Amino acid sequence: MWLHWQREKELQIDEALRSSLVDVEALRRHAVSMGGLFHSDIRRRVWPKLVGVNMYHIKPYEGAPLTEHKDRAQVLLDVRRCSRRIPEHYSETRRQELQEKLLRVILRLLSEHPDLHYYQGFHDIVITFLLVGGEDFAYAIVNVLVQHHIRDFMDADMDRTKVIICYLRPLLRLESRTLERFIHKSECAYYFCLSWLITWFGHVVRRLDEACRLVDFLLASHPLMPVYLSGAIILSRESEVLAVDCEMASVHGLLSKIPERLSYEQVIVMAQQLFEKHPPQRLARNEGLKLGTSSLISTYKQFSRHTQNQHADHLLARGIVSPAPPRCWLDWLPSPSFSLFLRLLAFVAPVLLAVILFWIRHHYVRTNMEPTFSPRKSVPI
Amino acid sequence: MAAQGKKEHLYKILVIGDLGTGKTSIIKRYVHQFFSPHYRATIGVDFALKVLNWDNSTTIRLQLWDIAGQERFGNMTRVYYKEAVGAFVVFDVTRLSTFEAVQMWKADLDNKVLLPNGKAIPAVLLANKCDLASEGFLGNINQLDDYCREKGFHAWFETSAKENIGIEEAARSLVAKILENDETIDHPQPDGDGIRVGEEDGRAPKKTKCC
Repeated sequence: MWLHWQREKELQIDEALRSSLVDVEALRRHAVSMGGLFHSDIRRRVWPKLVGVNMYHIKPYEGAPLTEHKDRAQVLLDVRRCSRRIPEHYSETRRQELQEKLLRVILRLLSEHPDLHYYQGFHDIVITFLLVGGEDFAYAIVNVLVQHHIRDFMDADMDRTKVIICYLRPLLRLESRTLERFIHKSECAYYFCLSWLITWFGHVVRRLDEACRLVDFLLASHPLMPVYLSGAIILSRESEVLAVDCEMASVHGLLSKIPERLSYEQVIVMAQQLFEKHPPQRLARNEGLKLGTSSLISTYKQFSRHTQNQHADHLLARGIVSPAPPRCWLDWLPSPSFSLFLRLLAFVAPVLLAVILFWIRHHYVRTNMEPTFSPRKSVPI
Repeated sequence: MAAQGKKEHLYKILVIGDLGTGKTSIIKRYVHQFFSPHYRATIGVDFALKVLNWDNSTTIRLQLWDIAGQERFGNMTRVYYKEAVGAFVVFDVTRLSTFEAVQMWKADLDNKVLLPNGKAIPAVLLANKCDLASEGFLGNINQLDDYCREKGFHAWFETSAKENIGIEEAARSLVAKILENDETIDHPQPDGDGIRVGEEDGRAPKKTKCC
């Protein structure tokens, strides 16, 4: 039986979903606000809209056989060890089926994107979507995430992952200099929250509903929001941290475990406030980081525009395709993985070249050609 | 309260090896006397503390650092090798590739951390999942004696976290070697080889004690 606020929220979500052009901004607000999307039925309808996926048009897999994939053995080892994430009431047969599906979804994604590299923890992201909406649902949504929200984590190395972790320190420094100094003095690296970021907390939360609540929030937010959420969790434990010995093992031991009593609703509100107060640009400036080096940051605007123009499901089900997103002049520039300066340079350089050529030609015509003009001979009549 | 004059040591030990070899299971068995077939993959680094009453006059606190097995984390986990004084290198007796990777893990260990006297930290090789040895690739497991001498391992043990085989013995062997090193190595700090119980505040010990 749903509570009054849930019934109210469901009506509003329904309305946002049914308008011929889906009101994605309203869906985002509901996903973030108290209680999030609160039920699998709602999540199955809203999550695809938050990432701009048409569930009625999922490309069937036509690549190489998944049994021959180079990462199969490694993925299999991790998939076999994910039973903590499977609800207890699942029978043994159902568990095995789910693990087979998980393996298939992961290998299918890796096969579709040969430039991406599997990391331990990726399975923790995929399984949440699999449990909520099944195999195709998980494939379609994570297929977007691997190109945007978690793209940096899937490089051949973890250099860009480390850069993402670097955003945490200036955030703590701006909020609590005492806490940031304490952690720094303890020599505890911020890697205790590595698993939080690269699994969207799937690795550390205890229950599926908690994992889903965080996915509601993160799907509707900026891709750096996991950093702000991590910051909110650490800041909410400030007094506990300051009470332990200022050394690596104590600080790591305390912070790497998320307390059972943690209120996810509270840290979500706090993370949002932190994001508004210290946006990514400010953190980057504070720590000397370049926003453009991160794919998840640089592709966000493009991703966000893509989600704006989606048809309602009743139209998509009839095969009506969503309208193309409005073009932005920046779309004509080279890949967003370059910095904005380079992208603008690529746009401006040909124009400049044309101006210079025009000027040279004009100059040449005036200075060199003019003397060759002979006065017009008078033609005898 | 411990008796006056009781010595307390704190040692940092790394547990490394390929993914899925059972590093987390070994630590859980050793620290919590418990085994579960449902451990998740370790992402980054985990940490556990074991307190040993070594003899009547010595208490040893072991910090066990459980390092993720996936190679891509290697660059990131380097920071956790600092000040380690011993290591377990784990392989799975049912998977040859994990044994072949032992060399790489040992070389990586020696490359990342050394004792204050410049020597390699003592490492013990664990042939884990020995309860499944019938499926194993090692025909004569005793050939590991030669292997250990050649590769610079202090010792090797057959272990099974599931059946609780060999883990206590392996830990005692490693700790004995660490204590031996501790007594012979000159420490740069005058109080470097142990502190008196009672100087502690009851929480996690200060790091000035080890090496």
